[in-house]
Amino acid sequence: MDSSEFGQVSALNRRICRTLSMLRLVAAHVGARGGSSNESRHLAGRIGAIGRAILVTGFFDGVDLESLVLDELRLHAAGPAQFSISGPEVRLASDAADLMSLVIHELATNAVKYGALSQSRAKISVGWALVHRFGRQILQFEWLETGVQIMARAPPTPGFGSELIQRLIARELKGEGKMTLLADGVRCAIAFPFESGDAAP
Amino acid sequence: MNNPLLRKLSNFAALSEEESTAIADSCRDVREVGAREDVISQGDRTGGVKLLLDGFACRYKTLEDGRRQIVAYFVPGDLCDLRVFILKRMDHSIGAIAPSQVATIAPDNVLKLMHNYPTLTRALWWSTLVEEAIAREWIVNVGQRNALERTAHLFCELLYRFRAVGLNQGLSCTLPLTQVELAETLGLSAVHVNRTLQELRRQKLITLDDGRLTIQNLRILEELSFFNADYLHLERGPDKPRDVEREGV
Repeated sequence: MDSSEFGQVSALNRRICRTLSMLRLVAAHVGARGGSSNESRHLAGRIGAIGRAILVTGFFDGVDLESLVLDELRLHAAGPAQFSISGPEVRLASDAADLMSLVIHELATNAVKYGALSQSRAKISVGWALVHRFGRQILQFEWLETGVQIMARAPPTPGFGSELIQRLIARELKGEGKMTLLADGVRCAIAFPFESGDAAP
Repeated sequence: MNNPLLRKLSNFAALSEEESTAIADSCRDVREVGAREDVISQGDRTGGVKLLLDGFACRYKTLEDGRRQIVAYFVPGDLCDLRVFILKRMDHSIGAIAPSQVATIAPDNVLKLMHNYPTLTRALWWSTLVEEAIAREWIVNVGQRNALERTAHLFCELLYRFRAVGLNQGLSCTLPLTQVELAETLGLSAVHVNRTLQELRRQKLITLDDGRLTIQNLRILEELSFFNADYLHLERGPDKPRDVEREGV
């Protein structure tokens, strides 16, 4: 990266920071007005999730998927014994990174509220693989929560998270995503055509 | 000016010959401390003020089940709390990370220095304020920055601090930390630290080998961790370090 490239990325990042900071102000305002409403409480976290992915993409050759997952789990104070991660090194291009960051955030938030991060014996395994299908590379991503005692207070209607996973993955990434409630947990499976964020030849 | 405390204070004020001599004279009680040995432990009587002359050390607290949080690093020239002798017993431990030389300044000597030399006193206040500013920045680090940002921020800070006492080699300094110690500092798991270091290496921003940190691109590292050296208050310090060895990535 030469000096003028650095300047460009730096200027763009500053603009993104200003935008994020305005959005956070809006979120704080909504939070103050909306009081304890569920959506207003989630807004700041969602802005944070988008911000985490978007700021590194300028300087880096793609966003490391494992880092996204680890950061999101750390943010929700998941202990090392509560989760396991496996998958090859995957560097997401910016479009996929923004959306996946939000998806992982929704999954982790959900786990804190109803799932594996709300109970001591439950576990999360996050895994991914790159497979070839019809001449294209597909990223298969799975978030699996097991050992969860399903409570009656689980969300009765599909929330923002499952809408994100079903509709936005299809629309933005031309892939598919599905949330399945299991007897002892939840499974989220996502697959989409993968383009490496690694621009280096 | 071999005493690193004098070098450090010179970032704030020009000290007179007399003041410099007075400080040097107060640092005669020197002890060698081995790597990973405690300089003073939680619960010990406080005694005199510890000054790191050489090496690298940390301030830490442990939970009963053995989990440990490193809450500060000491580079040569750092005092381990100027006013600690006001308290009876240590509420935390100071541990050497690298083999270190530690001077103990007797409480009477500290009080005498402060009684006799107003400029020196202000310089010592300055160093205390800088320590507190660093502690605030560390809270922001573990509270708000993500893994990459907080690791990058710590490395920027350490380079500036080593540089303020003339112990950097360009954009490089000694940093004999294990990944577990970094994890205990940054509030991350060791796995997460490992991943983050890999990422920083991959992006050609740093190398961390054999106890040595080399920053390959300081501008990007500062930018992506929201690092602004103002909180170190190096009022009279040299200019901003530059990527002299290597321009760009």
